Amino acid sequence: MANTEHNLQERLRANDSTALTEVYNAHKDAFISFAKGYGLDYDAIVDIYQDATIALYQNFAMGQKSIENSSIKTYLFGIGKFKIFDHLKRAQKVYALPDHHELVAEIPTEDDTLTTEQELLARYFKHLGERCQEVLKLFYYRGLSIQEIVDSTHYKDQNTVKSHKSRCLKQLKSLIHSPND
Amino acid sequence: MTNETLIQKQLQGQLSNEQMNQFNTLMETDNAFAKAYEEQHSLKKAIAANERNTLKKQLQSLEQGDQTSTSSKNPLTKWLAIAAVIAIALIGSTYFFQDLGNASKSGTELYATYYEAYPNVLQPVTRGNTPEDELSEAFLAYENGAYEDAATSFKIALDQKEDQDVRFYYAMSLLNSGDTQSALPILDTIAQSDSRFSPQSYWYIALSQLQSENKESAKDNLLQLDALDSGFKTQKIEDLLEQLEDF
Repeated sequence: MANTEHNLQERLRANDSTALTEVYNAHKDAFISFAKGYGLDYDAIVDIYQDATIALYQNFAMGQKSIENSSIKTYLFGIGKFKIFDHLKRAQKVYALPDHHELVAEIPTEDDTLTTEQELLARYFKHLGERCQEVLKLFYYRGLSIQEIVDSTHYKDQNTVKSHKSRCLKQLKSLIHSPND
Repeated sequence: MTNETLIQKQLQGQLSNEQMNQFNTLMETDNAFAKAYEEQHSLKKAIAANERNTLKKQLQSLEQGDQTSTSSKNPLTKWLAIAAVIAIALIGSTYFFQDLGNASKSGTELYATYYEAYPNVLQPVTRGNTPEDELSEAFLAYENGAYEDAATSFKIALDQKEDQDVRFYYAMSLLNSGDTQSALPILDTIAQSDSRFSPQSYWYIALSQLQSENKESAKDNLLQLDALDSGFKTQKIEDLLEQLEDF
């Protein structure tokens, strides 16, 4: 694997949002030409491309994904192709398959629609203090262990992280049950 | 492996086949385990959705930036743009160094840091349907950030039927659309009425006072809010009062 590609993957895993911009800029033109083959207009393509890049980014940042025998570009186009079909299905559009259709394998992404309860969680999460948001994000979203959180933040030990995390969860639950904030 | 670790690994999609079997058995036989997993899975999805929105905004603004830069191909515009960037950087650094010397922030800066539009917690908006009454229309406009329209609709709804909670959102619409003068007297009444949105009213009065650099009045309102001990913005009240101590 080329060194820059390896480095880029590491930055994606570290939730470095400049890596997102870098991936986005690097493959945008190629993706637009690719997607035009399915008869989509420019705005729809850009929208799909943004969602595909974000899905890729989150798979790295949340799942610690690593691509060994392929490339970020192939992975991105796979997700993009899946999202193009999803879009066409929703729009109930009739389309012809372009010549390059077989070259890219679709990579399905997790369904990201939220249940009502998850909507509430998302909404009230933003009302938590910054430190609470941070610790919950590191643990539940990034999937860091308690020790990894100690190592990468100002918390002095595992117990402090644990008790702060549980206080924040309690606060989130109480916000949902009595939405005063 | 503890149950906690098992859940976390599953959330990251990192379970081996054997661990996956163990996970599935626990999900079927242990209610507490299943509940804990569902909770954490939901929270992960919720946070991911928030992050996704932030990232989407980042890419959208990148896209807008691209369009602006391609439209300014005239060399003069380009140089003016560069000059503007340098000027902003210079002004920025001046403020930055001033900031290092004097950590306290002005009222307007504090206002900008703490102010955010209060969410609609009163009436859920059902999207995709045409609003049936004035009040639903008002909340729909409010959620969409069309605060002037929201203010008009809230006013009509209030004329039809008085409601203290709705009046709070009317005041918030005025405040969000920049009409602080009209919003403040309404918020004052609500704050002192010991009703559901009293704490919120004190908070927004305090922020408005900060915006117009009336720090003493802002502090008074925060202290009154603090005394209510309502659980609303407890930490932020504390932070803000601490910063206002410097004045």
